[in-house]
Amino acid sequence: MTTQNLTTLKGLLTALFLLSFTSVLAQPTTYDGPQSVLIKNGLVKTITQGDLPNTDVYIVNGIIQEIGQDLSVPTNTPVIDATDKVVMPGIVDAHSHLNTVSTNEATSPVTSEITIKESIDPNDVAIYHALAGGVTSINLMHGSANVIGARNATLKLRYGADQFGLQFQEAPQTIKFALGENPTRVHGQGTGVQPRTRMGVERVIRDIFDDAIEYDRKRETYLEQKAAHERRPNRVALPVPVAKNLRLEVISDIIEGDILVHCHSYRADEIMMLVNVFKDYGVENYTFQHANEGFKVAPELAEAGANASVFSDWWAYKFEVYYSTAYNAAILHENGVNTSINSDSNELIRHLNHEAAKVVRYGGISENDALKMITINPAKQLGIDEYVGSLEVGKHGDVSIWSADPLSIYAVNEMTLVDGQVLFNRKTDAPDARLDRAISHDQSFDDLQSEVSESIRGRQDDACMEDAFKLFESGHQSEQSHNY
Amino acid sequence: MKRNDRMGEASLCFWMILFLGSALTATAQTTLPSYGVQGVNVIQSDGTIKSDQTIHWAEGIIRRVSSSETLPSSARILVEGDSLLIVPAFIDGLNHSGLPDAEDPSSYGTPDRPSDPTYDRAGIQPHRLPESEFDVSHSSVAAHQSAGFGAINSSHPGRMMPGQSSLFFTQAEETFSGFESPLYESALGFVFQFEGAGGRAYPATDMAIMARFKQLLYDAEALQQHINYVEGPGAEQMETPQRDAVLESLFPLLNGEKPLMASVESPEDAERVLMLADEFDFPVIFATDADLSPIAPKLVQSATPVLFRFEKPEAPDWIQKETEETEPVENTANESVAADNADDAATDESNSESEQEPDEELSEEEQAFRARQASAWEAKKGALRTMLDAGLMIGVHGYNGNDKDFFEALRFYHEEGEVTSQELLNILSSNTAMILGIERLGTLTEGSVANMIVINGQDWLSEDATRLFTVSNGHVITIDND
Amino acid sequence: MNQKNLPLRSLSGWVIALSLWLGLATAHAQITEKPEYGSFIIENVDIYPVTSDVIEGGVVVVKDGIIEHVGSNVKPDLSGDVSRIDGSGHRLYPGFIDSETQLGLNEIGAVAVTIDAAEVGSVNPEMIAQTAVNPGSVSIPVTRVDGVTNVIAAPVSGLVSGTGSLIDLYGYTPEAMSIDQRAGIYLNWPSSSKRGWWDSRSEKEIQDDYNEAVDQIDELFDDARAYHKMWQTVESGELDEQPDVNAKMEAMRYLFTQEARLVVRVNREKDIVAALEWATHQDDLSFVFSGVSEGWRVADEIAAADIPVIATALVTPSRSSDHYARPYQNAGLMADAGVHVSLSTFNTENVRNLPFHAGYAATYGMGIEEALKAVTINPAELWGVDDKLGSIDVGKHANLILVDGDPFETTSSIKDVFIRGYRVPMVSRHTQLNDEFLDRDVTN
Repeated sequence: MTTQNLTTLKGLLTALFLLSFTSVLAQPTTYDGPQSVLIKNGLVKTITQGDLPNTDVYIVNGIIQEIGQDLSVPTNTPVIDATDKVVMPGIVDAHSHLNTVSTNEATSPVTSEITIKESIDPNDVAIYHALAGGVTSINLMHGSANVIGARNATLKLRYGADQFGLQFQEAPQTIKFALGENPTRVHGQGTGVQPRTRMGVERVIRDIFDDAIEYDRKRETYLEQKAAHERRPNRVALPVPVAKNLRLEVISDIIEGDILVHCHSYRADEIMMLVNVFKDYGVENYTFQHANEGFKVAPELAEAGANASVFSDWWAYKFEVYYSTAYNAAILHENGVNTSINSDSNELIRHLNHEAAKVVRYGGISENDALKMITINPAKQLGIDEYVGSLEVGKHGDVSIWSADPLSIYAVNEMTLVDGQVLFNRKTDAPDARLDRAISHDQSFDDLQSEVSESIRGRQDDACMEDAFKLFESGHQSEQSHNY
Repeated sequence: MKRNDRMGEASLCFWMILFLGSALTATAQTTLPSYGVQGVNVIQSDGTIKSDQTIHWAEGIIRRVSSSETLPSSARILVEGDSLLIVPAFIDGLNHSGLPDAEDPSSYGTPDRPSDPTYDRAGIQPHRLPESEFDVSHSSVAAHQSAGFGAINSSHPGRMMPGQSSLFFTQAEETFSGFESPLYESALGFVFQFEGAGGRAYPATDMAIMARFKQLLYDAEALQQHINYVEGPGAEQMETPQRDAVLESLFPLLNGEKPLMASVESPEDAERVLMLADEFDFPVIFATDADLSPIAPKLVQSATPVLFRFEKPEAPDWIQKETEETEPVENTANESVAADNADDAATDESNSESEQEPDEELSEEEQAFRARQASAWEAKKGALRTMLDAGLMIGVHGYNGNDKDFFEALRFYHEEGEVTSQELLNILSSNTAMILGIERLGTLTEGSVANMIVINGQDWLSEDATRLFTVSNGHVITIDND
Repeated sequence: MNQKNLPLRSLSGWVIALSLWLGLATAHAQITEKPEYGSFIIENVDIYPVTSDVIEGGVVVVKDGIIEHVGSNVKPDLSGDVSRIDGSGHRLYPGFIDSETQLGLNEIGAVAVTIDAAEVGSVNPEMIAQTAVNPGSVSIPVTRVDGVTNVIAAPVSGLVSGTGSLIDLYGYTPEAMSIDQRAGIYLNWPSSSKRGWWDSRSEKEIQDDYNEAVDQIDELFDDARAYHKMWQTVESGELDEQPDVNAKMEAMRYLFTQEARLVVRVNREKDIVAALEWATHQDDLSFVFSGVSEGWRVADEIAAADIPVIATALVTPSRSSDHYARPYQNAGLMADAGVHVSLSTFNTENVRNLPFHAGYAATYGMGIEEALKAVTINPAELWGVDDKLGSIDVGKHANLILVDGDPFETTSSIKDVFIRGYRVPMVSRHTQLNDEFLDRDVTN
């Protein structure tokens, strides 16, 4: 692949400028804002409009302007030659904890007042690793310690941007829920507060929903009366102030439909519980995360219009995923449930294309449908399908370019673009992809070895229980041992 | 350099200490005595250095700063002589000195409802003021005295919101019933840090601390409004609100009257605090040892100052080694003319071996690693310079009680970090006073509080300079230099 | 039934269909279908013997569990009851071997009572994995229907975890599954670095702990060596007295007779170097290094020491400054340096992903041929069973897999699996749940 035109004068100047300060130019390309580029003559997998051979994708200021053959563009447009390459939309991961500062506030069964948007680490090299796997957007989630966790942050992987620049501004707000073993273990088993059971989990949700409705009524009444008083002080009495309650306000927004629920769940019964609760409160357009037993209630999920975001093949790491099947995604799909394949792992996020290919193996769905499960389907679940998830005119210039069919195990991601900017380039990137600002001034090269994980075994438990374990380990062993 | 030359020419120091005994026993007196220094050099915060100056102070206030004048006869001459230098005493912009240690978090049990611990258990104590517990005779205050600090903005240690800070002098009058209050100004700001409740109690994470903070202010907002309603007209029928000392203490913050003094460890943390400040519109003062220059535009725009903590950063191992190795080589080379030939050859050989061998063995990967680390090290050294150049208002905080380390760190930023000694002096005195909003501290002008350091030497930052006295609120503290 | 892409495999496929139709199969049922055993002719198949060139459109004959004939497409004359399998368009490979798993030992990760891989105690060479292998583990059929026919079941805890066993993934008793119950003894090499972000030990404490652990290892092996020599003397009749028998030391004797390998689990560069140094003082042992996630950094040294390794591919880079693809490249870089490499998932329930680890290693430098060896003949050599497993050669065990394409390709399907000549049902919990729920009765 030739990228000769990418080195613009500006880039050269920047390089010279940096060279004057440091002897090497080692930092990877950092996000610079939307750019224009022509990706020429590739096999374009639009996802939504078929595969287009020998086709160009023209991105102007970060937005796809035109898709077609032999496009003519202004002469100064940088060109990426994608001859013999496969061009597909950037991958969307609907479940990640890629670069959180902390993942779980495991001290309360309901923490809707918290937001992961205030827990984004923009300096983690894991962002680059995900880009190297072709991923451009993620759902950065709270963990699964709480029945109602924090609000999540939908990110675009603009490596090098700050914690605000990483956020997918157009994305609607989503929130994490969690059912089953994790919340009952952390709270009921851990500290003896409800929920200890799946009965309790349902109660926690219904109770806080009722509280929110009650709160909303009181708060609205107060605000109305206050406004009325201010208009006519003599006619309308002063109201007793009702404090804004962030936790309940967020719950109220869920009921209003302004916040999309992404619910960690495994068993069919708990999935149906939430379907029923949401039916009662009129909550729609939600997504079951993991949903290892989603296949058992696929027709019901389809009827409820619920989405599912699942692992390709993870199972058996805990009891509630023992009755799992790698055919889950295919069964959900065949039953008409909008289904995505997610990572929930900083390892899997590096090869979601391979994870999607497993749905072809286990269930024989079409290759395009498999690719949809890591592009347009998760984009729908995050409410960002208007912007990403397929290559269409008007959508963001978020693209990954592969050496071969991305479902092949031999395919290698060559480049990943976000907003038209190449942020991963396999050929030219230096091996060390850390950001300058992430480099420690005193950690020795040998000490880096302490980063090597001692265990390289597979998934022992949920990645999304991170931090919750820290609490378990933090000096209250004796207390807990009574509970276990 | 110029100053050094002058030092060389200067006559040997023959400063006198008069009334030294009185200075030490002055604390037993009931009225603040009148003191003076004469014939000394004085550095002002604008950088001007005046020689042959006389400073006279009484009752804690500088009465007169002038050239070659004699002190009033009533004044006791503390010292005199042109080998002496007077600079404004330092101000520690935020510390826990003079206050008891915080409880050990591991002693905290799990609350019955971990989601809803008491304010104290959660570390939410903005109503706490330090004055009732501040002990001017505490060893941590003595450590400040000998380093040259005349005032400390001190708050309780603790967790998320451990209390408000108040400014104290580092010396006070001792009476028969104990010390008089060293308090200069109470309740300068609300201390905030990303420090969870500890153990299994809410809030545990930074994001929960953010949320908890917001809810506190929402609650305070409603309570303030309720109180205002009840106290105002037209609310005769209204029930009186349930009082809450914690929430009520937050009203000045809510109303933007007092700053949040936020201790942060990274630009990202600082940005998070600024999110809170944006929502509630209160001023912020940052206390940090991090390089906040990446967010300098935001800080400049919101006129947010930074209290910097001086700690000498450690160079990477391999840079330390290189420095150690190259230095002796140079010395050997210089002395080699007279040195024994055989010895010299041996030394050269071993040096060249130790220098070249690792370089040859170094993988390309490690070389790249070092190149990047060298940049990071340069950035670390230049952090303070970068922040100053970005236009940030920088003061000081967090003196750790070890004056050797502290001055080494100051010299490090001067020598390696290109910060002038005048800039450092301002950071330690006038800037910090300005950041805290204390007009009469940090300068040596008539009418200012008599806080100064008496130094034997002409360069306050030099390793050779000896601090003789710290004057705090007019009280003379003799520094024990062994 | 989701069979649209999978042509029903003659009789056995109809058996499943029939049993489902009769409502006999339930989600939680055991696998009711029986394997076929006897004589098979797999014909018109592309044979990938691993140890020799590919034979296109060839024929393999299996009889009584053994490969009896491998050749071009000449139909041998077999009398008696023979099943003929048409391999047209398919490829035949030796079954894949995963050299370190907890398959059969662990059932459900988070349920402690189902975990049999971790015994209490620091030095447990006498703990033998095979005895705890559960032939009914739900993960076993899940694994074999994706083409992995053999694994090492290995204990994990302590300093010396125990003895790992090489098993077939078919059989009703551990003994029936056993190929070598004393394949290797596992030594978790102590680390000279922090164990992770949570490790709050000081540098000195870490070094002290490390030195202490290495001293303990030295002492253990000195004792074991002395014990072995003593018993050799007894056995040769030179000593009349009968010394006391020590179970731990007895287990360790297999190391000195070279019957069991010493498998050293070690990952970090510094630790690999230390373990290599230690190994030079133990020339009476047969070594394997396992994990070796930073093996590429010291590949030449490992090759020079002639120590075979077990590595994986689908893990995150070991250092934040590492190239993103280093874990994919690790196995290939070591192989290039001349290291004898076998690949592993180091997993339990997803050992079925072994071919994909090989695929990634192949793509990122190892090459398909070498990666194929790393899951077949290399592990067979490593465990000293290359006379039985690891290739399609006459006289070896009939551990074979029939694939509709490239077995490393995610989208390929495994069509048939033979283990010790048993043509195992292509059924697992995962396929059964699929069969039951794909077209679920919606009214119920």
